[in-house]
Amino acid sequence: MKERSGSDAFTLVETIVVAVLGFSVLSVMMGLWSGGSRMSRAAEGSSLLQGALVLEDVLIRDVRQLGHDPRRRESFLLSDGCLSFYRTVFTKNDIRLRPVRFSRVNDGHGNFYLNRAELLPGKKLQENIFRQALLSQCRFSLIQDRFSGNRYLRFEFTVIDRSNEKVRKASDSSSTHSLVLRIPTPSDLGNPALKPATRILPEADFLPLAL
Amino acid sequence: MIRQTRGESERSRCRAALGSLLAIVLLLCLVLAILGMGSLVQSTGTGRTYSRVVDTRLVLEAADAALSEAVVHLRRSMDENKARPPACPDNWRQLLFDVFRGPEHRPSDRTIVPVRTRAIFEAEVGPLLIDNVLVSVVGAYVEPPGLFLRYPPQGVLEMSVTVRGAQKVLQVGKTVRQRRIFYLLVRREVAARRTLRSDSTRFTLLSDPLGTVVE
Repeated sequence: MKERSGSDAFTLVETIVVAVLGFSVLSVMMGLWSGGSRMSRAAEGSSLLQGALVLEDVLIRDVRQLGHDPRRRESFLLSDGCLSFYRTVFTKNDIRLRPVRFSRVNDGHGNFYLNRAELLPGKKLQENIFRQALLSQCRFSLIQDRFSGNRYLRFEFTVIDRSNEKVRKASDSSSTHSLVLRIPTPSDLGNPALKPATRILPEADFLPLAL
Repeated sequence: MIRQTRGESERSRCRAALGSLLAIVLLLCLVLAILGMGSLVQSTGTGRTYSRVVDTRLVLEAADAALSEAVVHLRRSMDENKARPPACPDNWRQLLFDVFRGPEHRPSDRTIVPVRTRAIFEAEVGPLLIDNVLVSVVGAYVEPPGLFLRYPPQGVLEMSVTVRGAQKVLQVGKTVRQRRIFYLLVRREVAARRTLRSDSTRFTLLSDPLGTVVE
């Protein structure tokens, strides 16, 4: 009986070896787990940044091409989440102004995507929804420099993680950006003596601001 | 025999336990490696996007700088009534004056070399490929004979420059076009005689563009 029970039970050395092995494996696992979480957070941040960069790139290019209709006092329409303006297009002798609008598109969960709509010739509306960046906040505003007279467009937006749609404005799954762009100054368009040089033709009226 | 068998079974149990432990660790490592690869791919993608955005901004800045430099060369050539090689190989007062003689005299794709922009960007940013600025007259207006000189003789210049990014892998390349108005200041007595001469007039080129197009 003694012999059997002695052979069935673990000896002290075995227990120690197993405990040491267990702790080693546990510590390795915890290390790997923490590394994995870090990697996951980095990937999430990376994805948020990528979406934000794409939006910034599009806005920088479009605002640089902002055109002015000499008959209008203002060269764009602006509301909290919507921006409507003309994009310049050169034809052989004339300059054409094509309506462009940035607005929000709801995703059905309280967040939204940015939508760029451009009215092409033939009244065809070309829309591009930037689904790589889910936004919880997006705001256009105007900054006026009283000394220089320059005007700037500010675009503030918060990109959130698409994989966690339940998260609403959580600081650890979102990334807030602010972009300030100078609005190009119109070139002496009001001077009546310089009218015959070129024709500036809007292809349509501004696209209405979306609600 | 019985003892040996028990010892062997214990050892085999131990081996099995160790084996399963090892398998779990390997599986975990595999899962983490896959996660790591995923995040690496993601961050590489972001890195590329970031580089592309930075390159695009640099390219647009360089294009703006090259066009502004071209305006300076043009104005100087107009004011001094002479060519200024190598940056400005044409006499722009003469070229623009000829524009009013008829559409067939409109200059097309004349080059201006953005010497200073190239030097500054090469020294401070890196090897951006900034092409020469191409200048063409796309429209001109002069009042027909017999009419009172209500509008000054005027026209529109189109300037374009292509800039390619420093990183060849990303292949960022943009052509920026701008149009500007130029007009001729004509003194009253010259206007009254209706005999325009390139040395008795003064050209003005507006510094702000009518519009910008990025392609």
